[in-house]
Amino acid sequence: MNKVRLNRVLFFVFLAILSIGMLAGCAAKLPEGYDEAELKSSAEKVIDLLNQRDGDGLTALMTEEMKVGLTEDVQAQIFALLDESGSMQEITDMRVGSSEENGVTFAFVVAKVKYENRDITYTIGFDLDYNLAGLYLK
Amino acid sequence: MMLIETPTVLQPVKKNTTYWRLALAFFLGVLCFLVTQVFTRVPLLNWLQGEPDFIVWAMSIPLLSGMLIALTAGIFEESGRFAFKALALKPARTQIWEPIVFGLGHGLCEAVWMFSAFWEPIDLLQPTQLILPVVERVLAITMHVGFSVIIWNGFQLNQRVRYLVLAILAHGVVDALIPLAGRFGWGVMALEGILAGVAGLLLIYTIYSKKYYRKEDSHE
Repeated sequence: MNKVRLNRVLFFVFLAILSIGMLAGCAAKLPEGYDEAELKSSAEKVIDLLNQRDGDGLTALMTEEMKVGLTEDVQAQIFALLDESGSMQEITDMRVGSSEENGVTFAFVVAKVKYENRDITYTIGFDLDYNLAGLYLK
Repeated sequence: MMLIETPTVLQPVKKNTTYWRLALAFFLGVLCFLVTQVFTRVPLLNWLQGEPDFIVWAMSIPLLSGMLIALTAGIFEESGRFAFKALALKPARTQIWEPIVFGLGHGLCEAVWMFSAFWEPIDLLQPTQLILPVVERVLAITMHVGFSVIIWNGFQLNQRVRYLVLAILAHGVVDALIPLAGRFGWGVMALEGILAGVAGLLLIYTIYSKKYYRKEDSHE
């Protein structure tokens, strides 16, 4: 009897962990003040500036914190990666989401972009004024 | 006359068989890590990290997604251990050294694989800077031995599924300490201290489990 009960408990613990994870992901919404269409067009603008190797244009879009992190040296590394990737073909997938870091909620766009030699997935964060607040490439 | 000669003839054969089984258990432990992590889970996670839907899900619930990804390490590695034990290391009831050697193979392979990824930067580090990564790996190897003993105990006690689930949850909880440390700002030393505590508990569990195992090798 105890054996059966323990197996049931373990099974439900397992199922509960998985279910909470899936449901929490489904429930994610954009924070107040963000517009999905504007987020996507802002992300397209960032990708366009990167493809044009327009460091000044990119810097003009950044938050003050971002300017400290995404220096000219870091930009040069990104541009070198893009040089290796060849010319951009198309954006194959784009999703929006939100997250919280250090008590600050922000929205982000994840865009999968097909280049001549490889696919790059951009994760681009924005503040409420649609300034570039985060950039990650894979 | 025959009674005196028989043990002297059989003794080397028995020893050779034991060494062979030791080597097999170690090799299968190595293979188990390669199959369940290097060739499956790691490529799968790499692929998922390039998929927008996965990234949105993971970033929306960073702590929970981190914990669930940690749980997948338990699912992959412990199911692998279970499968290797069930299919390649018979008989089901064995001696305590078998899970210990299997866990050593598994853990050492992971250590070599992790250090190989940082081989060039390692050259730039001072010897004192290597102490913490080495200690961390020793703790991880100890835990791999403990997880192997949990799986093997299921076979010894004929409660295989229960011990498999226990091993998955235990492994998942240990790996979940990493996203928890990030979320709650625990320092490296605090995290290593907790891991040392868990490794110590698993070591005690391994010693305690000796009673479930055969004392001598029999050739079933």
